[in-house]
Amino acid sequence: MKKKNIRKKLKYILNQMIPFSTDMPICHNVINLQKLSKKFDNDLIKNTDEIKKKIANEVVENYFMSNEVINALKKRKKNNHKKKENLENLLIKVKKNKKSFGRNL
Amino acid sequence: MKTEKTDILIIGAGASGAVSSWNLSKTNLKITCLDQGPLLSKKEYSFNNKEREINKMHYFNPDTNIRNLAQDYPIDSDNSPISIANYNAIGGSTLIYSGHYLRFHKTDFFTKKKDGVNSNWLFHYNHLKKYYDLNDKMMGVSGLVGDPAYPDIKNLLPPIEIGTTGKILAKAFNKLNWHWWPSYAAVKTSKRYLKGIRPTVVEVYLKKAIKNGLILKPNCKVIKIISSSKSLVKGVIYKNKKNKKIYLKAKLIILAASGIGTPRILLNSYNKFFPNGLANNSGKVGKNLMLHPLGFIEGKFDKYLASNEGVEGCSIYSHEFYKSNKKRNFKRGYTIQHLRSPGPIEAYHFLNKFKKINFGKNFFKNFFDYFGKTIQLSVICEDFADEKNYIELDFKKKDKDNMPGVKINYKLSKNSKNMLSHGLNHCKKLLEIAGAKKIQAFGPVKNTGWHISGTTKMGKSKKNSVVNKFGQCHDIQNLFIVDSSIFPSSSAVNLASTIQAVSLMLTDNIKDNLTKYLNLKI
Repeated sequence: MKKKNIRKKLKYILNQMIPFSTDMPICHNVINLQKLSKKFDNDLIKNTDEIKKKIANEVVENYFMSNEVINALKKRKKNNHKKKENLENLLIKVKKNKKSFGRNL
Repeated sequence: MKTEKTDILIIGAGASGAVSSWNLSKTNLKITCLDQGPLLSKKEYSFNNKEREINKMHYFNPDTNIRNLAQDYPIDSDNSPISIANYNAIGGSTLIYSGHYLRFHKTDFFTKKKDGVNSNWLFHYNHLKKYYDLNDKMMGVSGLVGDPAYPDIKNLLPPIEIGTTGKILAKAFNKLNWHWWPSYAAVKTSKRYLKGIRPTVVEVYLKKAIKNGLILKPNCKVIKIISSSKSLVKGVIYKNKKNKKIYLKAKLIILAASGIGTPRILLNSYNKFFPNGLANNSGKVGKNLMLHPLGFIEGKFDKYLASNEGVEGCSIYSHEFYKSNKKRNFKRGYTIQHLRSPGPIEAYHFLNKFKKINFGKNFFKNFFDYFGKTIQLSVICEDFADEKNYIELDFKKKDKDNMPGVKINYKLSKNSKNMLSHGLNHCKKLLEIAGAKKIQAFGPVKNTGWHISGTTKMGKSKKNSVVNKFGQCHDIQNLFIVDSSIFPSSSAVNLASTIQAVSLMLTDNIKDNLTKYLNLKI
């Protein structure tokens, strides 16, 4: 199999593993296919399950380490932004009820 | 063999070795510090490094058997429900630790007197207080003054953000009327930037010590300490990066190689004067191993909480169950810590481990059903010294320099089991009140043996302890131990703050008595 075809096959496999999602980057766009394809020779590339096993950790690590995915996850945080609560207000009860705590410990 | 000379030799450049190096570098003596690990660049171990999450699983994995680097030695934990977690490099485990800087409580220093367990320390909180304060200032400990559990702590940097999940938990703690407080963290914060920068002992202590004249030698593994008589040592044999053996003569030797490294070196330094290991006339070197059994509790919520964000480590803690209570079926107690939830890669591996994620069409559904939606707690239990828990040299598994590895023999006591069970149940209750929809809890967690102590215990009697109150070996006048292996009790808090305060105090004593110690006829 030609290198170009190996990359094509890998692209297909990646999209099977981490499929398209509207708010997350497409897997094959953020992973270096050229680098990944160097790991496979003609024989191995035919066995899809074997490839998935072999590249699973690398794909997950590279995918979530990519700037595109990091930014997508950050956006998610912004969308779920909560109003700030005052720490001091939360601590009033502890301060009031646990006054002798330090001496006892 | 090439011979070198120094006045004071410090073995180990981690939490205690770095502090000791800095303190002693202020004298006019020749101070040398050897560490088996490399000197890494700050960029490599930085907590803000984008690749930190991956590094933690490989190069910076706390399990020595997984990372298996040139400087590491095998640690066999098959005979223990808890395995050892550490890091071997200049800076030691502070390169990867959580930086949770809780102090011991006053009663932690006399548990025998108060609760009839462990041994009492030979010094107390009040002796250490000024060193705790100094170390907090040096490390840049942030926190909030006014904690009822630590009323005497003052002058901290602004507290770290406790985040959305911290606030949810705070409300649950309040409902139960349990103690909680924002964590004390070695994270340098400012009013503008509460996420902070986490320092390690490399920047805080070692760089200053080097400016003072410290000779720091990375990649230098101490093979043996050499005795000159029944009560004195005269130097060490170490292997340098080029694999050459060097004899380094020293007038005074300080061991600061951790609760595992220190007894390993002593046991391996057996000779005609000490056939069972150096400074081991008592037979207690390696014995009384204490680890903090750790329970893990995770609550899953319906909403995204961004719980993967914030400071790595602990954001709020509770000492509600820290002290003994006659109504409970265990003595002493535990700390509850709220931990940051895993980042995306760790989250994937966690889900994969429990077969809760698959590649394919449900990948993101599985992933986002978990990621950022959990609140994680840990229960850190006080452990008791027991001679049946010990480390020994493992001659079957040796390191790359043919030095024996370490075998851990450790069992959970009934007290620890009861304490863990109590902690797990109470944390479940806390998470239920906080609104968690699904809760899982288990313990002890295997790879959590960060807090290692007791293996060269401090005590008054030569018969049942290894060092005296100055960290000086009972058997050897010019050999000192300044790390957590001398702790007679473990407390239920992270050890870093106390390790460093103790090292500062003990090396202050060495400085005050230099004439006495350096004029011994080796």
